[in-house]
Amino acid sequence: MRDDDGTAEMFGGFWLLIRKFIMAFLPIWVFLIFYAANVHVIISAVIAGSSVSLVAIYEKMKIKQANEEAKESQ
Amino acid sequence: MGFFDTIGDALGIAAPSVIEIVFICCALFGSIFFFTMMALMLVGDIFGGFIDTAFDTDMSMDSTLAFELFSIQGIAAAIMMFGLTGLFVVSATDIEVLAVFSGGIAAASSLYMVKYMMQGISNLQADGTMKHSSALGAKGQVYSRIQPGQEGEVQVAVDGSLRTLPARAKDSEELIPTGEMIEVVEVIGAILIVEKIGKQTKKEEE
Repeated sequence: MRDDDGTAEMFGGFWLLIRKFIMAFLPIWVFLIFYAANVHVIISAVIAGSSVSLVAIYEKMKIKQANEEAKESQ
Repeated sequence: MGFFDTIGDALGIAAPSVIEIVFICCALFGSIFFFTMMALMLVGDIFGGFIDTAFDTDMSMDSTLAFELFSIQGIAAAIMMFGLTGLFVVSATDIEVLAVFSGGIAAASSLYMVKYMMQGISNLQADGTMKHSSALGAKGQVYSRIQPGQEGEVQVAVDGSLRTLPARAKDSEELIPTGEMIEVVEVIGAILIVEKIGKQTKKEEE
């Protein structure tokens, strides 16, 4: 059973698509930035991998914000 | 001379670095994919018609599939923009970090634009469902006379379109002839409860 935590309604329902795109391309982008800055490949890869967590953090923040707004409006 | 060197030479980049090769790949394959998708969307109807006729089938690209293809097109556009912007910045400034950064910003912007475009398209869809409750307070005229205790038909404008709907008189013993001006005072299910406009004005005066 799928949890309905409000993620599907973010960004007018487009968040699920945007998240997939970000999760695929953000690490590559971050890796390329650090690689271009001549940072060691392994360190670049670790930072690139960690950048995915930013998406999850952002998602949780937005859901929390939306829930608080909904509570205030009640 | 390798493949990327040839393409790099064509773009005015001699001995491309790894980052430049990434940009070239994104720009090249993103553009090919983007323009192929565009061409397929444009000739889709002609091709679909040809398939339908040749194989006696009924192929159609429904809205869901078109929507998904459009999202893929957005991603292709983002990759293409990443490559092109990166190539432009790297050839203009020779700073690779800046090129990667601006390429990412360009990709995000193009995806954001596609998102707005998609929202605009979905806003164009009109919901044709009629809500009977929207008829409350609407004024119109009797189309088929309403006999005492029986059902007739009235023409009223609901949600911007003129509709002929079943109606009954509020006063069950009243006869409302064809062409009489009425107002909807209540809605029960799909039946409108109406009253003569003149009668209402009299009530208000009293």
